[in-house]
Amino acid sequence: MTTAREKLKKDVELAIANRPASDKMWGSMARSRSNRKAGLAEFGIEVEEMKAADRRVKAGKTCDPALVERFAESVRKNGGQVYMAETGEDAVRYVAELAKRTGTELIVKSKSLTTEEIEFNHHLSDAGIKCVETDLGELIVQLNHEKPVHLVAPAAHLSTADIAEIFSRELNKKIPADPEAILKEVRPYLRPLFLTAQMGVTGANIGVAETGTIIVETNEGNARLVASLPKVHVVIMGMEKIIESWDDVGQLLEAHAVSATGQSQTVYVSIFTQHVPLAGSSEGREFHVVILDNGRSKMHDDPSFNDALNCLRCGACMNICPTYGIVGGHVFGYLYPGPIGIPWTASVHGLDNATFAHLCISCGLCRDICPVDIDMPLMIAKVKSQEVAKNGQLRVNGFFMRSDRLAGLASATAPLSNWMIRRSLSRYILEKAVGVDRRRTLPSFSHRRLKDMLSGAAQGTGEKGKLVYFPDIYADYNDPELGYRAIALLRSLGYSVEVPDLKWSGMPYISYGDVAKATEVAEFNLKVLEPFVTSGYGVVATEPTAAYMLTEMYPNLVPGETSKKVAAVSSSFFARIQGDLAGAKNITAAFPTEEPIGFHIPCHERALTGGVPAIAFLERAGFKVKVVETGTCCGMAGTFGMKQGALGYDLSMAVGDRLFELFEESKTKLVASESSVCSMQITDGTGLRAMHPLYFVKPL
Amino acid sequence: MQEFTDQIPVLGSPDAFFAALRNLHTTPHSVGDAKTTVDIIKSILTEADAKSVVAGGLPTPAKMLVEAALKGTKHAFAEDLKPSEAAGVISKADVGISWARYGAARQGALLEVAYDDAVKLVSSLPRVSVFLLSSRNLCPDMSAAVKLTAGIIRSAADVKPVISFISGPSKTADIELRLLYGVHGPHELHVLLLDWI
Repeated sequence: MTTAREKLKKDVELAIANRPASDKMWGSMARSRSNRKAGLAEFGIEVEEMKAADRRVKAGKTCDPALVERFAESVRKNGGQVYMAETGEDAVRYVAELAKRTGTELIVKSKSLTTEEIEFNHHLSDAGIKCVETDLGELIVQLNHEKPVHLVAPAAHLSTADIAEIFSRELNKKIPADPEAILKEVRPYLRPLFLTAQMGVTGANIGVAETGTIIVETNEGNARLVASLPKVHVVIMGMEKIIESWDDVGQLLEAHAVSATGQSQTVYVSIFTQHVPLAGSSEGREFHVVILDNGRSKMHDDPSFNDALNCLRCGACMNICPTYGIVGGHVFGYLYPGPIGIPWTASVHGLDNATFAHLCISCGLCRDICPVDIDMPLMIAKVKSQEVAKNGQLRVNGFFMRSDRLAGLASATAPLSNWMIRRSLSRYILEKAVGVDRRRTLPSFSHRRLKDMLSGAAQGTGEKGKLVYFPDIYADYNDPELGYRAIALLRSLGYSVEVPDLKWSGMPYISYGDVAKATEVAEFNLKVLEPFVTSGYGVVATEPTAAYMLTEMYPNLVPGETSKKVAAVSSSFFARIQGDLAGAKNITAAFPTEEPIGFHIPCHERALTGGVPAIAFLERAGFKVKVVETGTCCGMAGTFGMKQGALGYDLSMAVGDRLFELFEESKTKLVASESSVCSMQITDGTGLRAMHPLYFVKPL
Repeated sequence: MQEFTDQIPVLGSPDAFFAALRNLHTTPHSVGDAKTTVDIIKSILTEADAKSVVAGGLPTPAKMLVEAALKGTKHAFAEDLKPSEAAGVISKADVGISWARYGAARQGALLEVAYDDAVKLVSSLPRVSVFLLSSRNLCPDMSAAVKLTAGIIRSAADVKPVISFISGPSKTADIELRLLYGVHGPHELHVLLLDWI
C-alpha cells in the first residue's frame, strides 16, 4: 500500500515534470504578488501598520464562545434562524433537511471555502439535491471534478484552452479557446439557474456580532444573486469569521482586498442582516445562518494552533510560497491549500491528510506576507513534529538535524573531510546511505575555527557599543574568514565584539519538525546571551537565518522576557552597521568594477531588512548593484536543497530555475548574497560566483 | 423610503471620485441640472441599444426625471413589479437605473441601500448599470461610508436593509488571471453625480 509520504513524493515528481503547468502556476502567483504590491503602494498602506491593525481586530478574540453566542443572538433578534453545527456532517444534515422541507431541488452557491471544507456539494448531491457553483473559478473546477487549487483563484492551474474544453464538454458545443468567448457562454448558462434555484448558499467573509450582519465580498457579483433570487438564503460560515463590532469592518475589508488581489475593496461588498422581501413579498423567504465549529473550538483552546483561526483567507501565503508555486494546491493542500492549509488541515481534517506539510521549506515568507502576521512557520513545524512522531523521521532529515555535530567532525578532520566530499564514490555512498543528493555541491570545511583566528586580534574600542557576534555553523566551521572579516569591520567601526560559546541557530529542527530540540537550542543560546544583553550588548549575525531565528523564532519558541529582550537587540550584520557607513573610511572595493553586481535577497533577510542595508554597503564600497529576484525563495532553503530527489534537490532546483533564468537575463557576472546556502544554490544553478558582500571589500 | 440627501460632515472630492471611477472601469458623468440628467440617461440608453429598462430605489425627484428619459422605451420600476414577475422582468432588461445612497470618493465606491431585493436586482442583473448619486452624499472615503452603513443598520427598525458597496462592473480574473467584465452582472457601469439634487 502506498503511504501518504510516498504519494506526496510521486505527486511532486509529476508536478516537476509538467513544466508548462508549473510555469502557469508560478506565473499566476507572481502576478498576484505584483498586484498586491502595486495595491499597497497605490493606496498608501503600510504593511506593518496593517498587520498590527488586523491583529488588534482578530488575535485573541476569534472563536471566543461568548462572541459567537452574541452574534447568534443578534441574528435571531433580526428574525434569522441560527444553527450551531458542531461538525461538517451536522451542517450538511441541517441544510439537507431544510432543502427537503422547502422543496429545494436546486441550490446556487457563491464561493465558500467553508462549504468546500465540509464537502457540501458532494453530500447534497448524494441527498438528490443539485448544487451549482456560480463563482466562475469554482464552477470551472466543479465541472472538471476537481478541488480548488487556490483559495482566491480556484482554477489558476488551468489554461484558457483547458477551460474552453471544460465548457465545450458541459454545453455540448465547440467553444473557442478565447476568454471572451467563454464568458459569453457562462452568463446564459448560469442565469436560468439563478432564476430557478429555490435555495442560495453563501459563505461569509465577516460576521458582525453587534448587529448580526453577514458580509460577503465578491468581484463577480454572484453572491448578490445567490442571496436575493432564491427564496431561501443559507449562510454557512466558520465561527472564526465573527467580529465584535462595526468599528473593525473597514479595516478587514481593506486587508482582505489588498492582500488577495491588490484592490482597495472588492467590486461587490454585500451586507445582509435579513432576507428582505422580493417585490414586496416575504412569502417563503427564509434566512438561515449555519455557524460551523468542525474543530475550531479545539483550535481555539490549543495555543499551538489558535493563531491559524485569525486567517483572512486572502491566499497571500500561497502566492509567495515557492514550492506551492511549482506544485500547486492539488499537491500542496488537502481541501485547504498552501501554507495556512497545513495547520488547518491537521486541525480540521486530521494529521493523516496533512502530509503535505513536508512541502514547506521553512523560508518564512508566508509569515512575512501574511496580513495578520500569523506564525505559520512555527505551526507548520508543529504539524511536522506530530507527523514525524506518528510516522517516523526520514533518515536524511535526522542527518541534517545533526549538522552542528557533523560540521564539528568535518572541521576537525579537514582537509580529509573535504577530499571525501569531493569524491564521487563517497557522494554516491552518502546519497544511498543517508539521502544527500550527489548533484549538490557541498561546502568545504575549515580546520581552523573562528576562535583560532580571533586569538590575538585587535580589540575594538567599544565607543560605538558592545556586540556579540553569532557565527552559526557556516562562519565557524565552513568559512571562519567570513566571521573574522565581520568582526574586524565591527571593531574598526568602534564596536567591541565578543564571541561566546553559542550553539547553532537550530533552524533545521524547525524545517524537519523537531520543535522540542529547536526549543532546547533556543533556550541554551538565550541563556548564554542574556547576561550580555542585560549589560548592554547587541547581537549580530552574518547569516540571515541566524538573525531570523533570534528575532522571529526564539520569541515564539521560548516565550518570555529573555527572548523578547534578545530579539529586540539582535539584528543582521548590515542592518547593525548601516548607520555607521557614512563616516567609515575603510570600506573599499576589493576589485573595482563598472559592471553591476547581481544581488540576491535571502528569504530570512527579506523578512528582516529586505536586503536594503547590504545593498547600501556594496554601494558605499563603490559597486553598482542590481537586485535579481523572483520575489520569492531561491529554492535552497537551508539543507532542503541538499536532500536527494523530489522532496529535496529536484524541487529545490525547480524553484531555483526561475531565478537562474533571471540571472542569465541580467548578464551579471558576480553575485552577492548574505546567505551561505543561497550562494551555493545560485552557483550550482548558474555557474556564477556568489559570495557574501563582505568579500567584495578589502579585508581589514 | 430613504432620505435622498444627508448631512455629511466632510464631503469627498468629485475629482478624486471621478479618477477612482475611471480606474475601476466605470464611466463618470458630472451633471449640473435636471435636463442634462435626462439627456445623459438617454444617450446611455441609445449607446446600449436598450430595448428594455428597469429602475428602482429612486427618490421622487430622480424618479420623475428617469421617467422622462425613459419615455418611448419599454421600462418598469422595481417597486411596481409583482413578486411573480419581478426577477424575470429585471433579468430581461438591458439597462438598470439605481440610486446610490452614498459614494466613497477616494475608492470610487457606491453604496446602495435596498429594503427590497428587487431594487438590488436592478443593479445586479442587466448588462448596463446606471447609478445616480447626489453630490451632497459623496463621502471622502470608505471609512466614512462604512460608518454611515453601520448607522443605517443600527438604526433600522423592522426591515434591516441589504447594503452593497459597488466598485465597478462585475468582473472576474478566473481565466488565466485575465480581467474580464460582466460575468454575471453589469459589464458596464455609469455614475451620474448630480449637483442639482
